[in-house]
Amino acid sequence: MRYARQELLPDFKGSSGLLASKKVAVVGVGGLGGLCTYLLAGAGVIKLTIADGDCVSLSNLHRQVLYRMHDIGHKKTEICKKAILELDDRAEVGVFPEINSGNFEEFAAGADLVLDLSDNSATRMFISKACFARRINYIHAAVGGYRGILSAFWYADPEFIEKFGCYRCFAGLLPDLKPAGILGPAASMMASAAAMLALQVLNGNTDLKGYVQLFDLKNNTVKKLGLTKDRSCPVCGG
Amino acid sequence: MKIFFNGEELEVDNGLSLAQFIKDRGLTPDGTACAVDENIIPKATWSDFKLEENMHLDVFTLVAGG
Ligand SMILES: [Zn+2]
Repeated sequence: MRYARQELLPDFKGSSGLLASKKVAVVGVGGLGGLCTYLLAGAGVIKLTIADGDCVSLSNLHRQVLYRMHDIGHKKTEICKKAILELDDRAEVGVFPEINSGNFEEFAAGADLVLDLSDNSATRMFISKACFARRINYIHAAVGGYRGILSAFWYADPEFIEKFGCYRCFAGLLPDLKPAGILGPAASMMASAAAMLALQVLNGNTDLKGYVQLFDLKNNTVKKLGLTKDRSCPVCGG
Repeated sequence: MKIFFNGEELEVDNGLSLAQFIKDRGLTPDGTACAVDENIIPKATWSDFKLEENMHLDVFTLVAGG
């Protein structure tokens, strides 16, 4: 049986039906999103929607483990979809280009969870706000240098919003951050951490509810910090 | 008074606001996040937030890469 080892974990015993019923939409299938989506599909999250406007380039290959030399110039979403279907041919994978206000509705339709694994500030501010407006649970994972940031925002839960607010409460207005240096292992560590958190959220585990995790990807330490609602937040306050 | 800044002990003026502390460290608020005693302090409240003896500050730069 495909999930025999996974279901040896007491909290994941009998979880395959639940995971297969969930739909997850992933923004960005680069260093974080490619591997993360693959791990989710492997775990049985087979209803996936992926979005990315980029094609594979040579400078992606040191960290974006789904892509090969012969994929250069091809759309990342197409290669990612193919990899998922080779892993599990029951998977249903929807494919979108870059997400904006014009296609978000369709992209997120029916999603139980949206993962923002994109690579720029503007997209991140937009995705969080759009998920908040539709009360879709949202995971934010980002990496740069040896720093990783990971948090789930349970926008479908009014109590969560009341107590912990939204991504904007945490980050403020994110400036246009310059691309940081990055090593492949750092990206893959955060991709795995994001998949782990997504599986926990989908499986109903609330241990990390209300926290942001701050990863030091060089020394392998994780700090758990409590989220706090900003009562004057332009997105969720008031 | 004594506070802890990213794990290191530091001497600061009594009654210093978090906003002033961040400024004094040469950091810009945009793109920076801060936790005091392991709870995130929303940026809008930094100027009203007074540091107290023995507080533990975690100040970090946000990242957006994927
Ligand atoms: Zn907010």
